[in-house]
Amino acid sequence: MKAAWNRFWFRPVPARRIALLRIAVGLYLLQLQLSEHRAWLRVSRAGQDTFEGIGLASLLSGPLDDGLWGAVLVSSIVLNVAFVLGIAHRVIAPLFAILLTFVLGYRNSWGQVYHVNHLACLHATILALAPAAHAFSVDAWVRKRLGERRWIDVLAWPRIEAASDWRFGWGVQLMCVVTTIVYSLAGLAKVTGEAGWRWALGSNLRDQIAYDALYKELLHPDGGGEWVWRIYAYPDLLIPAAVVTLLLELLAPVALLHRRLAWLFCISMWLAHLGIDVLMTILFPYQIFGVAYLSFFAIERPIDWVLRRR
Amino acid sequence: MSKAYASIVCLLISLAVLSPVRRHWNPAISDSFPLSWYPMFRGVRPDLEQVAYVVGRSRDGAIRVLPYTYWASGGFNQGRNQLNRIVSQGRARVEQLCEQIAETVADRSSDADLVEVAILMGEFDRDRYFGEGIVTPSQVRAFDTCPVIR
Repeated sequence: MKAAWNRFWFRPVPARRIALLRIAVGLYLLQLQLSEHRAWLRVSRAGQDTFEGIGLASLLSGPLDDGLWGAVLVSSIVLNVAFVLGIAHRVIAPLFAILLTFVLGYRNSWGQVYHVNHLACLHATILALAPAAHAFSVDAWVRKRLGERRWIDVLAWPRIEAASDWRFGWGVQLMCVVTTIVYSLAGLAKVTGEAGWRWALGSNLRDQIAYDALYKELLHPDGGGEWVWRIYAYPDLLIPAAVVTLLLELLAPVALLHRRLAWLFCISMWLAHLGIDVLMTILFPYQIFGVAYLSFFAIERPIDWVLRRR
Repeated sequence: MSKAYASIVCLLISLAVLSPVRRHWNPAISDSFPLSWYPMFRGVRPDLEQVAYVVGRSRDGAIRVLPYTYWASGGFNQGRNQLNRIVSQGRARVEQLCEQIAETVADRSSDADLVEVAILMGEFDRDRYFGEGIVTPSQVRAFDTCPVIR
């Protein structure tokens, strides 16, 4: 049992892999915060009475003062930059994870819980709790220049001698596990819902797409129904899409068993998100840009190849 | 760092992410962030959709839909839900929103032709809308109308 546990969670992984994951996830979140900054500042525009605290924001008794909310957003961006650069990762990264969870929870507290950034936030939290800044970071640079110092260990986790180590592996594996759980929960929601296993027949999926498109036709400046007319013309097209979606989601944890199954899972889910983007104009940027699936791959290898050639 | 620390973090985070599963059997619990049970996939849509929406009327009587950007920041779904919520809060709140939208319309040169704003509730048959191209609602109710004052 213990051996199986160790084999599953504690596979040695290069420090560069988890460091690259920190940079990729951090950069995704940084562009999100910078690009949405203005909209988030005005998130209460429809009225303070539309606030209902979600996640960490549920600890609030009411909406924040606009000035304080602005300061929280700026602080989150500053900590995000430190997370990407790997500055005092052991201390600053957990603070960033908490603040980010609050910011995204608060942003979701105005009438709609958006599900596009749940996974990114969970991944950032895992990376914040793991030694993810032993490479490609300010922490690594400072340690190299100053040598062993106790305060560096306190701020940036103690040195790990081996280039590849289980201490870099568990965080990567946990990211993969969490990714598959999230998809399984989405699949479970479908089959335990009102439609049950009939969800696989495709009509429920068509109705959801049409419902979303109808609202977009009436409330979205760009409309949104152009593909739905075609779906109604060929209704059987959605049956294989519904069956494959259900199978992929419910069986997502199988991807943890073998590298090739992981590739198949990642490519299939990416295609599914592409389909959602085309049919419903709902973009999942974390998934579409591939960041959500990076933990399943040896992403340090292309960098190693480039470095070897120099 | 010990394996005990790593094991505890792995176990706690995995269980936490898995924990919303209990909500499938207790749908009264609301959705959350970053732990979700993805309730939007559970429902079956009714045949007729009740949609709250906003239109502007021009001097010559032409009507055009005003998108969520006239009253909300933060995305389409948030704008839709905020409108639904305001509509359910009663007449005073709807009047307030109608006036707010009319002010926005008055400020936009592209809306110079609009003289009135209305917040409506329409009943739409999805299958007829997308299957037969009948885009007019089977029933419409006006919650409020207000003039655009320039």
